[in-house]
Amino acid sequence: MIYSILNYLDRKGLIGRASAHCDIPCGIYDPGPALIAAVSVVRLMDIAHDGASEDPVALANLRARCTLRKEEEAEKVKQEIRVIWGDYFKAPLLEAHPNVHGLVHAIMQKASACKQDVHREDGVALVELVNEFAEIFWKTKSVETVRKTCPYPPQLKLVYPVLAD
Amino acid sequence: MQPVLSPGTFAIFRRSTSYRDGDVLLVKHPRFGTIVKRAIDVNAESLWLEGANASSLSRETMGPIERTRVQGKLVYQVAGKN
Repeated sequence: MIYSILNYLDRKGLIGRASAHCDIPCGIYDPGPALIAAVSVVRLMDIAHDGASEDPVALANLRARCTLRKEEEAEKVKQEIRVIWGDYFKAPLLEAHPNVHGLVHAIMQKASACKQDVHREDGVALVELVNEFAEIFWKTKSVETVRKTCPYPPQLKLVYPVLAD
Repeated sequence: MQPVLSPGTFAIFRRSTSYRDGDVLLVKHPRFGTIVKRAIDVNAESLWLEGANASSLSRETMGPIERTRVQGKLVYQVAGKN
């Protein structure tokens, strides 16, 4: 009841706004960390699959580490994308790019799939989805992008901004 | 400021002449605009701020705050239905 009244007054513009969330509006947004995390998921899947140690304990240790880090990197993808989608994309940008909602949802789902299992195709698909998100993001800033093979394993194509200087 | 304040919460602040460490303050920050953060190291002329969440900006990033920039301290909040 009280919330409804306050909400009504807020819609009338009678209540001021303050930022209390953690990512204070510093205006710095970049899909780069999400891409690095996504490609790390693929790399960790590869390492887990390629574990060649003959020592079963060492192999179990390696795979446990990969699984733990894969979980963290996939969660980082979700967090980084959520922040850009939730805080950077305002109404005009969403109207210009109406597919962002569906794309973000697909990223959330695919990142979860990467956490649940070790299917490399899920990891590669996650990278591609984040690539698409990065292209849209840079487009909103009128920055051209290019797809280049990242200079480290797993050497997948990543979206990079073409900056003027 | 999660878990102290969630997005969409209505918060009521009261002006005061005395602020203490731990008070949740409404501050007109010279760089970050109107923000809500917790007071630490309060002294006669200034104070420092910190967030309630580990991923908040650091106190050093927000810098020392003149007391005159403090608009009030949190006395009541009405959270939305989640």
